Amino acid sequence: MRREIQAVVFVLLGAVLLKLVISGEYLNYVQKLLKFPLIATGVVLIAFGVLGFLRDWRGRAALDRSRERAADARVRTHGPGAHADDDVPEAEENGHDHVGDGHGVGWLWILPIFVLVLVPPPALGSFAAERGAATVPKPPKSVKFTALNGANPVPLEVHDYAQRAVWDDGRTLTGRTVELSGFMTPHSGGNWYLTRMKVNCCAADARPYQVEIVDSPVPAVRDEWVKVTGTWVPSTAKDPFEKVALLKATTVNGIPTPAQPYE
Amino acid sequence: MSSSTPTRTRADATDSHSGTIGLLIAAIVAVLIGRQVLALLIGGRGGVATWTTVFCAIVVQALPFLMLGVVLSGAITAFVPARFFSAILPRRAALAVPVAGAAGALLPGCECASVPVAGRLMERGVVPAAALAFLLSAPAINPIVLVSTAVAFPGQPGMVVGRFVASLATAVLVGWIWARFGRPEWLTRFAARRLLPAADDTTPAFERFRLAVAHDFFEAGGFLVIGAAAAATMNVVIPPDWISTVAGIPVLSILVLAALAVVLSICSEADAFVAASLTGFPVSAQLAFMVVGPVVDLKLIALQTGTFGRAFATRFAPLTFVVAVGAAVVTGLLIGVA
Repeated sequence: MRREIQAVVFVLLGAVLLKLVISGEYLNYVQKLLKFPLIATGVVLIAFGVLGFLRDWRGRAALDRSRERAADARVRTHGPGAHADDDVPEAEENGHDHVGDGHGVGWLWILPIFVLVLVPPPALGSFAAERGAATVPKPPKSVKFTALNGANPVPLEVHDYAQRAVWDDGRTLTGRTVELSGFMTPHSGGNWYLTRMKVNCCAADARPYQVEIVDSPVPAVRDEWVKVTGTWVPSTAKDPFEKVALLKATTVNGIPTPAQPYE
Repeated sequence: MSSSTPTRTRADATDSHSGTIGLLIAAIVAVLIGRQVLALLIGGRGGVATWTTVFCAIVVQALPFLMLGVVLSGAITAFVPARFFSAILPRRAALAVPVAGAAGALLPGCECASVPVAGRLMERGVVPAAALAFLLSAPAINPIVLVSTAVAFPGQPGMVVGRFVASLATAVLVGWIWARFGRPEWLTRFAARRLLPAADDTTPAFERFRLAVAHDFFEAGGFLVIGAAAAATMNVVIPPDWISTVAGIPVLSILVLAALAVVLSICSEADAFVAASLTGFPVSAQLAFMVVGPVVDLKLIALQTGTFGRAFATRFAPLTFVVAVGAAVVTGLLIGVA
């Protein structure tokens, strides 16, 4: 039984990984960088599952022939504790049987498989964002705020805008109209933040970047994806660790959830 | 374990068909009910949805690295003769430990990959203390991790050097302590696993490889799932402002970040970015986060329990934690002086 389940788990898990990559859902959990490692892992898993099935069938056919004479004789002469090292096909069979022996925790693989097949969870949204701060963490020294090129509105990533607004006093933003995409995270008094999660490796290390939208023409709808155009306005706080990035909105339009939900 | 095998093999074969049908029915029922329940919970996009996303993310992220680790460990079992390791490693544990620790730089993976490899190294006759030094150093000092650290802390080469030195020191010190005070009976689960025919030399090499990979992947996966669930719970439950309030307090900030590294179980290839984003914390605390994370975290403890047994994990994890924090503090002070 165990070895059959193991083969089923391998094939299912491999198929789930391939499905996540093909549908693009893997981007809800990990970085694009992991695309090919995930494909390779999926293929290897399916191969091991199929190979396990084949060995199993072949092994059982051989076992059926030898069992009647071998097993009874061994138990009679050596006792139930006998190890079958005198009989190569039998030894292999034992090998299969030991697989998954002991804890049986291998069963738990079923959990992520079930979840990912039945209801793949969505990308992190406002719940995760509200757990993070609205302030902007200090960017590393390597981040340079170069002048914005191109016609207005300039599309910017949310974390880029937030860092320019808070850590560069909006120097590169004055006089420009920018365009940001993210989801809505409501906060006090009907206001809302335009939020985008930044992920370095997987969703477990995500942190939110938030831009408070000033004079929004639309009310907040939690987790709704929008594209906002607008202009920078300075924050009232003096300490950059206390500042929140602000954007005075000109237009707010709903957009479909992007394929790449994180920055 | 092996004593019950002949009888169970037979019972398995006869029960196999009814068992399969039962499992099929259970699976169909679970799918029908599970879908509704899950859709209801995740559809809300609240805590449960966030938990599920983080849980799936950790599992999906770890899978390629776990696969790399078990394929490598399977190859060690099947294709590398045991005498190879006794030939290249010094016979004395005191010397073998630093050599194995430095060799950790050669395995470009995260912590999920190193546990099965260390287990199979022991099986091939490597001194446990040396295999453990490798287990600790591999996820912390390999080139990918060091490069990602350099990217996360640009203009601060001290962080990369500090991480390398503190992590290698942790691996070697823990290895030496284990060589001096470790007892074989703490590796009971591992001793039991030695009976696996996967390591029996009468089986063809590829079949041994296949069995080892299948076994290690399946078992380690179960513990990975437990660890991912625990880490996802911490991720959703800990109020984030608890962490930032201690940033200014010297000793406490180090301990809090070290503990955070344990509960968040972030992959060693990503933890530098998280450490860098914890602005306001002293260098020693950020180093502690990066030195502790790859050697002690929830999913790693779960994986070690599965591979080496509970008696091992309950001693090894606290020992490693204390040594890692100590190494990070000392190195952090030296960087601060330099």
